[in-house]
Amino acid sequence: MENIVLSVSREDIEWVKNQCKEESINVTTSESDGLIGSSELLDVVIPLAVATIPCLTKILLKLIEKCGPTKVSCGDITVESVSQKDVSKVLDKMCDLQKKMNKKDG
Amino acid sequence: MDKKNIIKKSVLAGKKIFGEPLDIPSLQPLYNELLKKFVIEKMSIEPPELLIYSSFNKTTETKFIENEETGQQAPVLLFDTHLLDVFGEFAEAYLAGQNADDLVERLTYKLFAEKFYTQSKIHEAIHFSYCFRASRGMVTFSKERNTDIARNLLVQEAFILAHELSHWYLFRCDEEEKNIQLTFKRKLWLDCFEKLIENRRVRAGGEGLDTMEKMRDYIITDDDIIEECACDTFAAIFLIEFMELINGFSKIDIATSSFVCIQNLQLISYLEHNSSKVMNENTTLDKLSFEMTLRMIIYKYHIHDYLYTYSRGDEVIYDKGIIKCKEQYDTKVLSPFIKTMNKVNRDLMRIRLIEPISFLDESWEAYNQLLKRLLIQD
Repeated sequence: MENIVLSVSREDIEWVKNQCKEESINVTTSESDGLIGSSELLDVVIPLAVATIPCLTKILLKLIEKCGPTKVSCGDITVESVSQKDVSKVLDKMCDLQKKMNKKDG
Repeated sequence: MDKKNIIKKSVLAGKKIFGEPLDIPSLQPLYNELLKKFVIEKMSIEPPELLIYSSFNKTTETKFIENEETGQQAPVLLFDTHLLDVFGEFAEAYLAGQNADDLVERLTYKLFAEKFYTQSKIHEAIHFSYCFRASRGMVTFSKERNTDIARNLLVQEAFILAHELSHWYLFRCDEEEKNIQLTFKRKLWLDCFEKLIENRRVRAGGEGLDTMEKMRDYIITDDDIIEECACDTFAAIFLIEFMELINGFSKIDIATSSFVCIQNLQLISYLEHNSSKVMNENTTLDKLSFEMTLRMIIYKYHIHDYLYTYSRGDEVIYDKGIIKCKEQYDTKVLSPFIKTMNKVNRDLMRIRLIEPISFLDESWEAYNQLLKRLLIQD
């Protein structure tokens, strides 16, 4: 089961969690405190098994509207700054690549 | 999927993982031992679980994760063993008998290529991957020298864990402890700098006074530098007391190897955080050398003081050792690193004029595969 990860600032984390709850998605959040690579951003981890692409698109569009272009990751792919116009294309491609990868891994 | 795997998938999401982590049998037992010491002091704080992996991100960090579905909350210390691959190469350059500029140049290209790969900056990543693959850099060591490298790395590995645990136990989980540490250490190191400034005024005719005053002002205003230096000194003292007993290291060995580790971490941290913008050369060098020097002065002063108090006589050997160590590091590692970094910055100014390859471009996947091939060596 793969995840989509949204990088969100501390002040926006509760807002994002609520948006996900409205879509009946339980998320995992992870707060980093690093010696190297520490970041002010928190990760919101959304399992692809429970979130559909339209649903993710809706959440991400709202997030970008509120906070501006957002960093999105899936598997080992990271897109640093996703804008509103690219949301659905980016999510589609991420999921496609992930499926291909899973097939390859057997 | 069990809860442990959910945690693992969650904390590693978005990282560029490759291959298997280095097989270091000593790592988990060492971590357990370190943890025992911290837990005695801070019973109420939940210890992080150690998760070992290998990625191009080279991040060692503690993550606190919270899963809404399972209600689980857990701290996890992520230890990226690729960091030790890199430190191994730094150690080869640092301990090389001959000039190792080529080795550092090659490693610097590799670090930049990996950094841009993790950021999906395709042109930059490909350019520096080829620079890395095309450059030479080999040093041959005697068996004795290889043992030196292994011992040096063992201390560095322990230092990274102890430093990270210091962040967790002293600054992240206990607000009261954090404030005590910040207040106490700030006062201690301000006193140190006042003495140094006075010495410069009286003995050195004011030479370097400006820099010293800037460092003092930095300590007054910046909490992060206090936290970093506090974790450096705490981890080093912790290891001096702990590793000397179990591994037969001398106090001086531990103090100097920890110092080298701090210098390595500074280089990597600097490269990861500050080189995303093209800066003019002086800004780059000034900031890098300012922070490194400040951390070094505090470390040198604090460990000297500790040895003077608890192991009188050792501080004299340590003072000489640390100066030699710094000179050796500057010559063998820092200077070729800065030289290469200047070349990198010049190249970046031109590469950034090329239209970027976006994740949505058809060619993106092919370039990504190429990069994996260039960066993952057999």
